[in-house]
Amino acid sequence: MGISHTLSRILSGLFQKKTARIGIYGPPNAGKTTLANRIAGDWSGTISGTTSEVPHETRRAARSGNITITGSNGKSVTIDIVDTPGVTTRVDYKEFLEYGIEREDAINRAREATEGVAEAMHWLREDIDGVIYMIDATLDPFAQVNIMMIGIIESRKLPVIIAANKIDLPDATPQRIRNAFPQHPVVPVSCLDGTQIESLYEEMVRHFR
Amino acid sequence: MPHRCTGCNTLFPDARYLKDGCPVCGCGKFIYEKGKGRKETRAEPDSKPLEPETPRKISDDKNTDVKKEISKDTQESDSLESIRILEPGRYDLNLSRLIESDDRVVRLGSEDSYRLDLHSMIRQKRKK
Repeated sequence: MGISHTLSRILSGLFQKKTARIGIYGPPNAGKTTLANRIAGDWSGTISGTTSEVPHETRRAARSGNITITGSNGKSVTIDIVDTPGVTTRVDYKEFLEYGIEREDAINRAREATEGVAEAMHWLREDIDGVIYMIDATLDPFAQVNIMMIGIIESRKLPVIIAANKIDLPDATPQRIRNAFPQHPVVPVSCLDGTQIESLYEEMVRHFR
Repeated sequence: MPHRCTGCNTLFPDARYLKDGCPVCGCGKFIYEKGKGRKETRAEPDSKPLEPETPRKISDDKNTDVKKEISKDTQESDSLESIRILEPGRYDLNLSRLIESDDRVVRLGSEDSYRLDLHSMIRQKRKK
């Protein structure tokens, strides 16, 4: 049994296609779940999570497995997509009150969001092979959390693509994000209506293979 | 919250120099000193740096292991806690600490009070 088992493991290791685990990171409300849903919908026909205008809607990491993305050159990459909770340096329940959430529920939501950030950081340390970092292109890219997270991702030597999201909005300026992070590929995209989503897929095939 | 500079051993009654470094020697590493400097902080709101004390050998301290751990933590990042609970529902998150390990050191409000999640620390060690 020992020899056949070892042989089987070697053969499966040789012929099994490696699946890269790609984490979608970014601050709350950057469009991470919208992107995860779009990728899963376009390439596997499933939906990953629910979206909302309320920050920290995603409070647990959600994984969509074994998605194969094929580029225009015929090359492909097989990935697991991990949609992570929004990363931030401060969580305040008062933020949720503005959306009509009751105080007690808001406090619970804040606690879950805090646990979610810790979980997202755990995944980044233990289980992630590459990162799509989402930034809302209508906002200042020099936010503390963006600087910190890009620094952390760089220090862990993970390949990263920055998605400058929400270019469907009139005040989106993806060039500001390019200027802020010239060392990384920046892809302007609208995950909501799919504008330039193909460019992101091309970059993923190129970057995460 | 008193902190001692690891470069020149100067004790500061609060954490105001953690970010910019020690004004005496420029060193950026500090050790949290439990139970020291609180009196000075209240007596002198301007909180001038206290006189440097004669360096003590670590082995003189009763809680040698605890101090080693704190020193190690401060070398890795400038603050001890991974999560600070300001009040129920309001949290400050130290991303640099959270990426280092699953160990949870939680600071409560502005008090010098910490809670250690021993379960998270045991889980980490088992994994190793």
